[in-house]
Amino acid sequence: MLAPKLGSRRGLVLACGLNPRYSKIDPAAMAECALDEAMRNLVAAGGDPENTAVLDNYCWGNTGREDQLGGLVRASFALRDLALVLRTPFVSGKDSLNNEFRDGERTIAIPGCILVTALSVIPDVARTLTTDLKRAGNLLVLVGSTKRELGGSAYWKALGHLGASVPRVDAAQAKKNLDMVARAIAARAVRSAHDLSEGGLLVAAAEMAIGGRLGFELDLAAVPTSGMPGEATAADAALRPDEVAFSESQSRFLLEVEPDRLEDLRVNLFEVPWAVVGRVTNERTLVIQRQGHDLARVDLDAAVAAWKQPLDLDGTLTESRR
Amino acid sequence: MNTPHVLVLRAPGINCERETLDAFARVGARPEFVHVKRLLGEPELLTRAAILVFPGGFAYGDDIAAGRVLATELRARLGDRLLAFVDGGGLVLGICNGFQALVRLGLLPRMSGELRQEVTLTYNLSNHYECRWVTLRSCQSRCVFVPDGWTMRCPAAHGEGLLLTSDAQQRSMLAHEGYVVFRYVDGQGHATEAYPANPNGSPDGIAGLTDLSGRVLGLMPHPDRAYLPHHMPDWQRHGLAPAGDGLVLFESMVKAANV
Repeated sequence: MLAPKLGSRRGLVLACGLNPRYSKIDPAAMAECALDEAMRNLVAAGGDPENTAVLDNYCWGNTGREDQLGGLVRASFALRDLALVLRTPFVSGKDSLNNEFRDGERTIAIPGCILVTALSVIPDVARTLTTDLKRAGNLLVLVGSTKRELGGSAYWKALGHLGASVPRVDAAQAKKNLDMVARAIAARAVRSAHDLSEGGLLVAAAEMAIGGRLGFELDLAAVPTSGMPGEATAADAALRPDEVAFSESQSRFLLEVEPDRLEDLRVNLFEVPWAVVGRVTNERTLVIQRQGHDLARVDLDAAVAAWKQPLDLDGTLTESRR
Repeated sequence: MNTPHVLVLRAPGINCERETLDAFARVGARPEFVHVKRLLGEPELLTRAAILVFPGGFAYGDDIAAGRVLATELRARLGDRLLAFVDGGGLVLGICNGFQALVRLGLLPRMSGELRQEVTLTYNLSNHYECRWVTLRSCQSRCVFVPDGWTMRCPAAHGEGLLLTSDAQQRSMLAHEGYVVFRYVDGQGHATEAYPANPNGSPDGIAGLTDLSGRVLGLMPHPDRAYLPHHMPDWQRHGLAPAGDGLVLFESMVKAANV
């Protein structure tokens, strides 16, 4: 959030979306998910989805190769199709093509990816939201439908897999989710909001707890798994707890809502799947349950320590500690 | 109402002058930008002003050392006028790079009464630029517009904020003769040398100094980045306050100024 004009509360909300791993499965999914992520990120921060412009930044491998060029075309069409439904004009962008390098016999190309940046003008920066949990006793509300979409996810990555069931965006539903959550936020029914992205529900919830230094109890059985509440299909009902916890299905939000504002939330979430999935606690513990049974308990301080740990992508930090 | 005339200095590399001017305008002053070249050409501008401000930034690219070129230029060409301004009751504020310039210029802490550099601000103990919220507490000092016991949160953003004295005796003079105005404090409100509550490792937690007259203040953190309610880091938890923590400093300075 920026308030660039001194003396004015008019401001800008800036948000980004980027998922290079999805591109290893399908560049079209990567592209639409980048736009969806930027938009839900923007809405969670208090942006107005009806007053938003977007930018595309392409990074691609050797577009002289047929598969690379084909991926670029597929990604561009997917981006266009979703932008038309979301009513978000691409006002600018940039590309960096032919990111391919030769090392002896080996050719290394980056996965083609698009960074989408969304920019919304808002009348008052005091109406923006942060992700940190605010108060024990508040409810956690999940908006959007969770499907078995773990291809390219952080969860599979942590287990050493890529997967195949890459998340896709249901454009019409995405538009509804964005608009309704924005409406609920404008009605001041929401205290904190976070989009569900890399790592899915549990990572988003943990980030909110870490930000607010508060705990939560979350029931995975309460998560809406497909379509409207009560319309779960047999296949969806069979989602494993880890799939519900770490699926990266798009167009989802986790909201913190004061119990006496739940009715205000309800009237604003029209034609959108949602459910109360947990509550904020003073316990400094992240409790993940399924139908009342504990699946995991994570100490908040341990979560904070893990979150603060530097990235160690090439293992050098672990080496030097030995 | 007290509406003192405030000169907000501009020079190549100074980049916090707009918000600094806005903060003074909000507390009833009449602030005006003055470019260093104009001030050098028309030093009588100082006689019409009650407050002179050195904003943050990187004056002259911080060539040689932070604030060094600006300080040398002003001392050589405007030194006597600046001393006359302060001795005549004018107030001076230096924020971040402005503080560094005031120290090199010799206006702070000016324990000897002469315009020469007595202490220095140098590289943070962390050896890199630090950009973070810190909490300051004011102590009993000579400063005529900062009372004892203020607590103020504002962002620090500097690479050279470690205050060094020439010896222990000088450091003890700073503390015991009221030259220290602000100290970095920890979560319990105690002055601290420990990172990150103290972002640069300054001994005794020193964050801001005044001079012999008590009319000059320099501090490393930025009250000019914490004067509006939504500047503060946690208003979304506790609601918007009427003002940011830093505004009180500008208010107090304006109240104390000679019109």
